[in-house]
Amino acid sequence: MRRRTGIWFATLIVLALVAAACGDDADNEDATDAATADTQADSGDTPAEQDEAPAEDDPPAAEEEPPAEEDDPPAAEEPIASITIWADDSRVGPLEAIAPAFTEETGVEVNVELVDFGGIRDQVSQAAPAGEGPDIFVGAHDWTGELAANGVVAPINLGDKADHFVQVALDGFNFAGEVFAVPYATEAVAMYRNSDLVPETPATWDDLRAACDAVEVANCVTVPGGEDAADAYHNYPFVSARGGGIFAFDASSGFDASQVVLDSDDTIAGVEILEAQVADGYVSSTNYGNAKDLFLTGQAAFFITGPWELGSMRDQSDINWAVSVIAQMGDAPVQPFVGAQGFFLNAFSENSLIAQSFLLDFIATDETMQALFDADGRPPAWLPVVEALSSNPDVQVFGASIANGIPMPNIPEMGAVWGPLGDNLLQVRNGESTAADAMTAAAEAVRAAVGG
Amino acid sequence: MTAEHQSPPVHDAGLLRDAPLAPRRLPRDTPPLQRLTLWLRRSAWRHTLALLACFFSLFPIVWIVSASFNSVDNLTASRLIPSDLTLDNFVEAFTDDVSPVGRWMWNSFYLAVTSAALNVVVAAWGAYAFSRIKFRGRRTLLTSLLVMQIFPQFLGFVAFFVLAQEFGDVWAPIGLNTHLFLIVVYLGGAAGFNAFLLKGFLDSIPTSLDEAAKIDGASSWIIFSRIIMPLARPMLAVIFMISFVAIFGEFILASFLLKGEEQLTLPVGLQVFLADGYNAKWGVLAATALVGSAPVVAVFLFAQKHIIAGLTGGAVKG
Amino acid sequence: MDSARNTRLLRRRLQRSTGRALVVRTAAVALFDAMGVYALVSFAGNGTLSVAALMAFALALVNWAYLSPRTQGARWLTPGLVLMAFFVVYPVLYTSYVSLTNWQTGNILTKDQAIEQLEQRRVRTGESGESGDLIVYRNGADDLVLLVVGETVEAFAGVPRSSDDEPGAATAAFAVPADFEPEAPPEEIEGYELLSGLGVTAVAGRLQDLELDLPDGRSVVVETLTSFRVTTGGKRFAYDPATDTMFDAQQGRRCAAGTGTFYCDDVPETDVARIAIIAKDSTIRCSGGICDRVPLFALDPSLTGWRDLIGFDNYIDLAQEERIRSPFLRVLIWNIAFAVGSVLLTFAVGLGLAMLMQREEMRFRGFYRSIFIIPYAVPGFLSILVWRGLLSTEFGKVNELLNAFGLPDVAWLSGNYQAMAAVLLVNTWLGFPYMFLISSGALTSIPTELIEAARVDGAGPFRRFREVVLPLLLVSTAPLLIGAFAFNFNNFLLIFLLTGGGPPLAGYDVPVGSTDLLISFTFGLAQSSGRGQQFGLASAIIVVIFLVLAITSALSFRLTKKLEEIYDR
Repeated sequence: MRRRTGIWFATLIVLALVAAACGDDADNEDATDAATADTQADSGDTPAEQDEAPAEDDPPAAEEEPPAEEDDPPAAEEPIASITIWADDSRVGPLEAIAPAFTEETGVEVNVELVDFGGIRDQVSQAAPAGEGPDIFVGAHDWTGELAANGVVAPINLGDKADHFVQVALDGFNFAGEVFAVPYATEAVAMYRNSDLVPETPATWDDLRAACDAVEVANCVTVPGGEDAADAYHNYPFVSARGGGIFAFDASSGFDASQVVLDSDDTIAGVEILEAQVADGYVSSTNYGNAKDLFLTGQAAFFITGPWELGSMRDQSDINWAVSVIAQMGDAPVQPFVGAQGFFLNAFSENSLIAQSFLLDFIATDETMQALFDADGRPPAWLPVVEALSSNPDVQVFGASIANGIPMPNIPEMGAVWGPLGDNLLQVRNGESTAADAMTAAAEAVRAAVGG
Repeated sequence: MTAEHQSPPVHDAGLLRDAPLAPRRLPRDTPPLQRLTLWLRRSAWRHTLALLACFFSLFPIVWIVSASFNSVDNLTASRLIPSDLTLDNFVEAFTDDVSPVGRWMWNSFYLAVTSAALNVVVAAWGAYAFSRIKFRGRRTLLTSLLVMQIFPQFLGFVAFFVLAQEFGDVWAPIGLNTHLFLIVVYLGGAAGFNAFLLKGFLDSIPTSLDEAAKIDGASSWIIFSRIIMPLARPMLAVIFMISFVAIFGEFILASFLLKGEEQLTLPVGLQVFLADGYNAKWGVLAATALVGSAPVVAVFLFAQKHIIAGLTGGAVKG
Repeated sequence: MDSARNTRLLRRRLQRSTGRALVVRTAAVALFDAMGVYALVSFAGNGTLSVAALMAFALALVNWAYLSPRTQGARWLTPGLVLMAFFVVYPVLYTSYVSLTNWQTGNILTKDQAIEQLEQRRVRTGESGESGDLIVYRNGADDLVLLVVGETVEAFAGVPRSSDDEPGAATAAFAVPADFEPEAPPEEIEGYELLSGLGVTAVAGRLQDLELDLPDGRSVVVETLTSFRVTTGGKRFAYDPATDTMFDAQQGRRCAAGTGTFYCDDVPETDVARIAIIAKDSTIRCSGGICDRVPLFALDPSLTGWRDLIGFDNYIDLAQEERIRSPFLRVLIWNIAFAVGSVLLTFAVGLGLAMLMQREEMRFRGFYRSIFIIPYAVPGFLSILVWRGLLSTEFGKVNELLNAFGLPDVAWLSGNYQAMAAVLLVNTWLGFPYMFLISSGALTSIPTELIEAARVDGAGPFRRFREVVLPLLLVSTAPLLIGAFAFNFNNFLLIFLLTGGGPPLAGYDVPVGSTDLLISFTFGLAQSSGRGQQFGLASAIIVVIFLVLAITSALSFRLTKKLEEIYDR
C-alpha cells in the first residue's frame, strides 16, 4: 500500500511537470504564478495531509481488530499479525515456499524480503536498533560474535531440541555460552573430481599428483583464492594441513584471540605444502570464477569448493564428476573451515513471540528442515534429516568433510583476520612470497589489529 | 555556419595545411577519383579514429551481448559467437518468479525520470538566481554549495538512515524503504552541481534579452519561464540526461535504502540476485543488463534531438 | 499606439496576477508551515534534535524567502537549499558527529537501548529449563488466563504477570478439569474462553511480556504461541538510574557506567578475557590478580555497550597510529595520480572525439555519437564486473587480443603497475562519454567569431586550439573537471568491484593494495581492527579526506574565477 502511494505520487509529480512544461501556450496570466517557485516547496506536502491519517491509523487498526474466531473465515484473508524475514536470493525461494504453512496455522503473514547476503550483516546492526530491522534474518554463524556484541540478536533457548542439531552447527552459533540462532544447514569445502580424467578417488595428495601426471591436464587442482582475488576460506585446508590455525583453540573456552598462531611452525608447514604445489604447478593461480569455469569445461582435474556448486555441476557441466573429501596431506584428514547457516532473531523485534514460534515450532521440525534442504541443497544441520539422507552420496561426502573440519571462529576479532590472511595467502598462490614470510606478515598484522 | 559563407582571406592558407580553409564542398563536376582522394585525405583519418573509439566503446559490450545469447553460464571461457545460440537467458530473466526483472526496470525507470525531471527544475531555479539576480554573498554561496557537494553522498548512509526513519514517522510514504525518500536524496545530492552547470550556460545568454522584457513589465517568473528557459533547453536536456543516467545506474544508496524484491532498482536487483556470491548467473545477468540499458539509450536519443537542435540552432549566440 | 495599449493591458494583468500570486504563495507557505511544525514536533519528540533543528532552519528559510518582500534570490534558491541542507549538509555534520564517538562493533546502541538489552538477559544456570504446552484463555474484559501443563508441571491455570514485575506469590488458581489432553483443552475456565490459534496470534504482542508463577514457586515464561518454558535463573541485570550503576546478579557485583559501557572493579584476573587486557585502548588495571575498571564485555563478550562521545580521540589515534601512517603516503600519492589521471584521460578522449564530431560535413555523426554513449548506458557496476573478467591474465579477452597482435600477456589484475593501468583503462572507458557530452556542449558555445578572428590573424589549428579553444573550453568546463576529480578521488565502486584494492602490497602491517584509494583503504582499515568495524575512526578519516578535498577545490574555484576574469571580457 505504501508502495502504491509512492508510485501514485511520483506519477503526479511527473504529470505536474509535464503540465507545467506544456503550459507555455496556455492562457497567460494563469500560468504565470500557478507554478511559482514556492509551489515546489509545498508540492511534497499536499498529498501528505491527505494520506497521513490512513497511514497513521493503519497499524493500530490491525492490532485492535477483535481477535478472529475460528469459524470466521474472512479473518484468514486479512492477517492479524506479520513478521518480516531478510534472506538472500538463494533462501528467498525456499522460505516463500514454506511460509504459507505457517500462515495457515497461525494467521501470521510472513514477508520474506530480499537482501544480499553481505548486506544483511551490515544492515541489521543499523536497522535493528532503529526499529526497522526484520524480525528474523538468515545469516552465517561467523557473524554471531559481532551481532551479539552489538546487542542486535537475542539468545535462543533451544531446550530439548538442541539434541536434534548437528553439534558443529550449534557450536558455530554459540557465543560466550549462548546460542544465538536456529541452525539449518552446514557447509565445508570438499574436492570435486573430473571422473573422466581421474576415475579413482586419490586418498593422499601424492596420489593426486600422480593422477594428474598421468593424464596431462593443463590445470591439476583449481582452488579459488589466487590470481586477483584473496580468499582465505578456500585456502584454509592448507593452513590447517599440519595442525596449524589462526587462533589457539580450546574446546571449553573456544578461540583465544590473544594467541595468534598464524606463524606457528605447524601453520607454516601447512602453507609450505601449498607453496610447493604452486611451485610444481599442481595448483594454478585462479580466482573463483576461473577455477569453476576451468573445471566445468574439463580443463582441470580437481576443484576445491563447497556444496553450493552441486547445482551448477549438475546443470552446466559436460563432464562426469564425483566429489570426495580433500586428499590427505598429513597424518590426519584435511580440516576445512565449517560454516553454519541459520536464522537469527532480532533483539529489537516487536513480534518476538511470533518470531520465536516461527523458529521453534515451525522451522525446527522434520518437515520444514526437509523442505529447506529440498529447496536449498546445503547439507542439513537437523539430524533427523541428515539420517534420512543417508543414501545421498553428495550429502555424505560433504558431511564427512564437515565432520573433519572446525567451525570458523565467530569472535568479532575475525574481522581483523580475513584481510591480512587472504592477502598473504594470495601472494603465496601467485608465487610472490614464501610460506614463512607470508604467515609471519599475516600474524603480525593480526596481532597489531587485535591487540593494538 | 555553413560552408558557403567561407570566403577565405587567404594570406597564409598553405602554411599549416589548414584543411578548413579550403572550400568544404567540392564543385559538382569534380571527377570521382579526385573526390575519393580528397575524401581520404580529409576525412579518412577522422573515420579511422572514430572507428577505433567505437571499438573501444563496444569491446566489453560485445561480450555482454555474447554472454546473453550463450547457454554456458560463464563469461571468460565463452567464445564470441556462442556455439549454441539461445534465448533462454532472456526468457529466464523475465519469467523467473522470484526475481521480478520487469518490476525492477520500471522502478529504476520511474525513479530516474522523476528525480531527473525534478533535478532539472531545482537546478534551473538555482541557476537562474545565481545568473540573473544580484544578491550579497552570491559567489560565496555558490562556492560553498559546490564544496559541500564534494562530500561523497554514499558515505552518509547512516545519516540517511536516521532521516528516513524520522521522515517515515511523520509520513510513511517518505520513510525507509520508499522510493520517494530515495528521490529526495538524489535531488539533494545533485542540486548544487547541476545549478552550477546550468549557471555557466545561462551566463552566456545575453542579459539584454531579459532587460528588454523587464522594461515591458515582465515579472521575473515570466523572464525565467518565457525567455531564459526556452533558450536553455539544450543544457536542460543535458542535465536531464546526466541525472537520468546517474540515477538509473546508482547502486550504493539504493542498495542500502531499499529492501524487498518488489522495491529494488535494476542495479540492486541484478547485484543481489544474479551477481552475488558464488552463484553468478552471467547469462541472465547479461541479458537483463542488455534489456535494462535500453531505456538509457532511449532517453539519450530523445535528449540528443533537443541537444543538437538547440545547439546548432544558434539561439544562444548573440 | 496599438502596442502601447497592449502593453498597458499586459501590465494591468500582471499586477492582478501578482496579487493572486501573493495569496497562493501565502497559502502554500502556511501549508508548508503546518506540515513542518508537525514534523518538527515529531522529530523533537523522538529526541532527534539534529533533524528537528534542520527542520526549523527549513521553516525559517521558507517563511523568510516567500513572505518577506525583498528576497528575490532566496525565492529561487530555497527549494535547492532545503534539499541540500537535508541530504548533503546533514550527512556531513552527522559524519563529523560520528567521528567524535566510539561508534564501533559492540558500541552501536544508545545507552538506553543497551541497558534495555542487558536487562533482558537472565542469569546463566547451565540448564535450559523444561518446556510444555501453553493454552490461552480470555474473558469479556480482555483479561488473559494461561493454562500450562508439562512433564513436571502439573496442569495449572492462573493470571500472568508482566515479566518486569518481581515473581510474587502465586495468584489464585483456577479450577482445571483433572485430566485433559493438551490437544483437547477445556473450552472455558471460570468465565474465560479458550482462544483459537488465530486468537492467540492476535494477543501475541501482550503474551510476549508475560510470566506465570506456579504454585511450587517456579515461574514460566511464554516462549512460543503454544509453549512455555520454566525459567532457571532470574534477571541478570538491574539498572539503578539514581547512581547510574548496573547490578550484575551473575557476578554479584555492582558496576558503574563509564565511557560506552559499565565498568566493574575488584574482578579476579582469571575472569577477564586476556584479549581485552592487551587491547590498545584497554582501561583495565590489574595488580595482584585483581583487576579494576573492567568493562562488561571483557567479562562476557556477548554483553553490548553503547556509543558515547569521546572527543577527538579518533583524530588523535589517526595522527599517532603508525599502522595508518606508513602506507598512507603511498595510498595518497596513487589516489591523487588516479584522480588526476582519470580526469585527464577521460577529458582528452572525450574532447578529442567531440572535436572530431564537430565537423559538420562528417558523415555518420549521429551513428558515432550513439556508439560513444553506450558505455554510459550500461549500468556501471555490471560493466566493471565484465571488465574484470575481460582483464583476467590467462583467460581474459584483452590478453587474447594482445596475443593476436603478437604481444605477450599482461597481468592486468595481479601486477602492481599493471593493475594501476587497468584501473585507469576501465575508468577511461566508463568516463569518456560524459566528457564527450560536456565537451560537445561547451564547444558549440564558443563563439565562432573568435576562432575566425584567430584564423584571420594567422593562427594555425594547433595554436587556435591551444590559445583560443582550450582556454574558453576550460572556463566553462573547469568546475566540471574539478567535480570529476572529486568524484574520482572517492571512486569507491570502481576499485571495490574491479580490483578490491589489490594486488596486496607486502611489507605493511595492514591490508593495503596497490590500487587502494584512501576511501577503500580506510574502509578496510576501519573494518579490520580490534573488535570489528570502527565507524568512529572511519568517520574521522572521511572528515579529514573531505576537508582536504574541500580546501583544494575551494582554492581551485578561486583559480577558475581568475580564469574567468581573464577570458571573460
